[in-house]
Amino acid sequence: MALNVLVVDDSAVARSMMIRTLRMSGLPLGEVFQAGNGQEGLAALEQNWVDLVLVDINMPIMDGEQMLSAVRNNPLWKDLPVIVVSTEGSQTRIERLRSEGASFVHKPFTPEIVSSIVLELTGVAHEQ
Amino acid sequence: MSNDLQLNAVLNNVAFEVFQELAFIFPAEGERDHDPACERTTSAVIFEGAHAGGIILALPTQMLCALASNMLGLDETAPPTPEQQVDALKELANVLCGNLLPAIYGPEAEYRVHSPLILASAPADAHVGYLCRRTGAAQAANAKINLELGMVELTLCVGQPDRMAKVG
Repeated sequence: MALNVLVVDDSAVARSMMIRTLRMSGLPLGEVFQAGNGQEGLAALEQNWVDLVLVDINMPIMDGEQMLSAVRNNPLWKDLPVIVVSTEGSQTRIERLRSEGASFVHKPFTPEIVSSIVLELTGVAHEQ
Repeated sequence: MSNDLQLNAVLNNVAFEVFQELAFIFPAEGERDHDPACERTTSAVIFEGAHAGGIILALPTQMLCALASNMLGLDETAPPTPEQQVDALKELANVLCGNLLPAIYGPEAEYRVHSPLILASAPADAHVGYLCRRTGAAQAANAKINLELGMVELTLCVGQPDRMAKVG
């Protein structure tokens, strides 16, 4: 099964690094969509079939927490696997994100960490 | 060890870790003098919340190409564009700020971290003055990070949470 992934971050370099890390991790990737903030991310979800969302927290227009709430409040996406990828260091906020059903990856990250969390969330293993 | 020295040590340690893990740039082996005449590109990240303030990260401009290449995994046949180089510096400053705040103030405090800025070419003290005016903060620490590709300067400015000036 190939995963369609949406990567949401206001930094083009951060998006490229995330996509490169996903490719390096050996996960079977299908289409990869990109968005520069939460609002664009929601629009991308409406227009495409997405299996997994990676989203930053601090972004202009709509941040990652707001996007996560909108995703969870939509019956179509309430069970969609979401990984928050951020420099966030506040345990309070990380627990709040987890209570909304998101996993968390701290920047900087390694392919091994991303891969193990994607596997845990989706059950999709590495391509050999 | 004094508080200032402890704070500078935290800046050094976090910077070394982030440069290594994010950009594969390692500490220099020998001592190097800070060259104030070296052309630098400077990014600032403003934060508010449990504390208000910002960090200023100044890199030798000649380091930007290697920084972006390493972060993006590019090889010599496809050098990064100027836009990618600037974006890489901003992302590095963002990750540094995000890792620095819990290292100094603990994991319970919450912050809103603004998008990184690129500051116009100016002397370092002018950048510090600009950030302090904008955030109501004062310089709390300054560290010279001696890396294999050059000397990087990292400054932390911190004020009270309620003294945040309007951030545009």
